[in-house]
Amino acid sequence: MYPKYFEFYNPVKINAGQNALEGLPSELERLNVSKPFIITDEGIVKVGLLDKVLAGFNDSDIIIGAVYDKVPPDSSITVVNEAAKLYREQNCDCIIAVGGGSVIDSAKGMNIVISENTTDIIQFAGHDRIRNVQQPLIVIPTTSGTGSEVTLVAVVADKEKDQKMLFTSTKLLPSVALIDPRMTMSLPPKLTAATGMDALTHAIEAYTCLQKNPISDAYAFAAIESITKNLVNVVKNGNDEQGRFELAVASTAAGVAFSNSMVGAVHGIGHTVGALAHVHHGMAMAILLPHVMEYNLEKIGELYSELLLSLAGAETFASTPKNKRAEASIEFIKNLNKTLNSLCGMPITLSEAGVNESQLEEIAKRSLNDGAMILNPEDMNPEEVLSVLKKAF
Amino acid sequence: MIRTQIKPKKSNFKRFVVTAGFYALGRGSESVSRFNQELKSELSAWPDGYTIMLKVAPNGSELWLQKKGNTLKRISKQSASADLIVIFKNLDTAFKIFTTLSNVHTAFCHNRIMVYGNVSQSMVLIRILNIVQAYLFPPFLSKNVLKRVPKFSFVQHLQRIRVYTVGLLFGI
Repeated sequence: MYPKYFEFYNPVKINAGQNALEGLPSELERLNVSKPFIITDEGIVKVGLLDKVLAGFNDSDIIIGAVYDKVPPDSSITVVNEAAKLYREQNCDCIIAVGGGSVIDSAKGMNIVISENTTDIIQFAGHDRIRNVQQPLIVIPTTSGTGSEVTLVAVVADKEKDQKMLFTSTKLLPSVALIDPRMTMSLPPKLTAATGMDALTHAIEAYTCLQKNPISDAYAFAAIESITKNLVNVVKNGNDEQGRFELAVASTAAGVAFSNSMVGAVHGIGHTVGALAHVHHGMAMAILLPHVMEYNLEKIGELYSELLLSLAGAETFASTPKNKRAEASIEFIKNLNKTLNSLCGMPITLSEAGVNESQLEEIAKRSLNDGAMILNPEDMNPEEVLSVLKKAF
Repeated sequence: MIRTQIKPKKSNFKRFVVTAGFYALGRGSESVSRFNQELKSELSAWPDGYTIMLKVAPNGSELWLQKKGNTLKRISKQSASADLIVIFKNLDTAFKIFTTLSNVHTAFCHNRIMVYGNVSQSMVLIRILNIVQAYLFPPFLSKNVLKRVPKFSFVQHLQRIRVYTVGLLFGI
């Protein structure tokens, strides 16, 4: 159904493809900045990805102001403040984030601290609260999943209060996203599968949740088609550079979609599964996606029917009776999970992912406090979340 | 004709409806929080004294609520900032919600609401408001406001009458 009103905003310049990194100096010049601050994590440095980024500056006059590589798997206020302090000390004038979701969230977080000239980022937690123009931010993703390079969201943990603070604002959208296939080549099969399923979940939820709109639908549809075409091949053959590139672009397209449509209960529950049972975010998405789709089926079966075309292709879509297409879409996801499980051991149940049955009730209760739940098409109470979790267990 | 310094018009009717809506929501919240166990359970997520402000931007009506014990109380405007602030971006958004022409989740989807504070806690607030609205609006209107209209027991129907009478007048 066409929405009565929607907003769509994506000012991020996307440079994608071969030698995208070599365009860094000219992008800095275009943004009228010259002293970048690079934020990343130790894993990225260890596998040589930072060197690839630094090589992108070869033969230019750019001096890298500082490299901060201490970002942990979950971004925190301490990290954000520490990075912002170093940025100020070195008089940097732009940020380059090289990494996955945590690094990119940290970059957005430190940008709030710098641009709002504060030491207390919590003052800016919430939706639509940031007012100042942010420092130019260039994002170079090293996974094909988060889509953070084109989203308006940042999550930063407040370790003292044991809570994750959400920041959403169009001001947080990066200036440039550099998608270079070299940056995801070293991703192992299991992580490739998990991050790919994360991107697929972004696209499916963007297409089916309450904030959907015709423009983000187009991004979501294209992303789903590309992910289902490439994911299995790339998990089988990690050296498939073209497949890797198409997956990375699909992840970015899914990011554009969900930055404007947001996500629903798969993310709402999945965030809590990650927080309480430490399950990798992409794996939690893959496990929960078909079960939440089954829960929403009665309300939005028609949308799931439409998705069969992008998921399984024109032939399957045409040969499936109209009233069976929604179930066929869900079955497709389940089969995709099974294939990925057999190829790289990606878990397909919560128990395989290490969740303890005794944790399910607490996960169900806390999931309802996730901001994504309000946009799920069907309402959920703790008992209903628990029944979804039990099916996924 | 060139015109300059044009002042925007003000809709006194909409302002009146929204002010009355905030009053009913505040009194209704006080009343429902006295007897509804589900609402009391939601309140347990907040520390005692937790304050919420709902407001219409830029200078419209405000509703302040505070958790006292395991109930909600309407309080007067505070000088300190509330723990959680929900701002309707314009008068029209609040008007549509209070007249059941729209609802909170649609307002979120349309990006017509700002939240200052912990977004997780705003989800608690939305569930509380859903419980209160189920009492404030009869079922034929609730279906415009809630994703799913709860089926009321006989006792809950009596409680709705209580909200409509002493609840809205005195918050009890």
